[in-house]
Amino acid sequence: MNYFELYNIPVSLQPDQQVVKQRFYELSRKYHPDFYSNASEDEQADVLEKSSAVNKAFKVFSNPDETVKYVLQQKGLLEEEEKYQLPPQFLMEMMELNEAALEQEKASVQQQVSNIQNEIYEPVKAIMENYQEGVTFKEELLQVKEYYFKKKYLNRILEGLA
Amino acid sequence: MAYSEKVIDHYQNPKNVGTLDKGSKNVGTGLVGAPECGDVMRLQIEVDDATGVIKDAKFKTFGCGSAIASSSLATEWLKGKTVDQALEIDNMAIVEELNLPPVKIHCSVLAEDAIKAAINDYRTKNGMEALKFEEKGVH
Repeated sequence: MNYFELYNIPVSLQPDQQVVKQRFYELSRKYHPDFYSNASEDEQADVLEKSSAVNKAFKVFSNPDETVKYVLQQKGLLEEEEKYQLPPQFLMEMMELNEAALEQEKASVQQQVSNIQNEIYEPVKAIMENYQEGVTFKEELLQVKEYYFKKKYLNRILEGLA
Repeated sequence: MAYSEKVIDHYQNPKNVGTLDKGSKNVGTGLVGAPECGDVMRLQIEVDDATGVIKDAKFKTFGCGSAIASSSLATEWLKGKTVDQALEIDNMAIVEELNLPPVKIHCSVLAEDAIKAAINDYRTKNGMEALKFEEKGVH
């Protein structure tokens, strides 16, 4: 059972946060170990596994990047520690931005990062917002994958500024 | 996680940080990235026309201590080698020299990739065919 099935929500790159929270509370209650103290050992183990999955899923769903990663992995489009080649032009831009982060005002760098963030999000915005199982093409998901990896570089620069 | 002394030394006193003129025909530039962590590494070599020996190497890396140490060590090793000898630098040699733990092996792979990219840039600039390399496992 994947996390979307567990939460009984449609597969999405941007799950509704309110629904996610609501399901998280419901499921946490449903699988609370205290309610199963008299259950068989097997059942208890099963409940423990479920409640741990509920927590893990919540962590994924509350983080936009992790959610994208999870969907791509579910679709077999992303592997752990995958070597992914981004266009050299983009790497060059990141090199320069990292250099700028050392020299320029924090606010100015943050502004540049956010500009690029918007720039890279624009082409995938529609896919991200309207993902639909069986409707969204693999090619579109691969575009999302490129966006996902580009964003990693920006995240790293922002972390360095914090 | 504890870094080895050698990593810390390269990290605190990185060798050969800087830039070479990437427009020069004798300079090969490799620019590589590690997408999962967002590290970027630029490694450059300057080759002596007559002898094919790498007379200078510079790098700039934005990444963790191991990535910086790996590229710093790589530039040290590159100087004085011919381009062909440089191709033989293996990431596992970097791992051994720096005592990198398994989770940091990908940093050494990045350095090796940067060397190869720099060499290919030099080759194509000088009318040679770019070499094809096998993908390394990162695990």
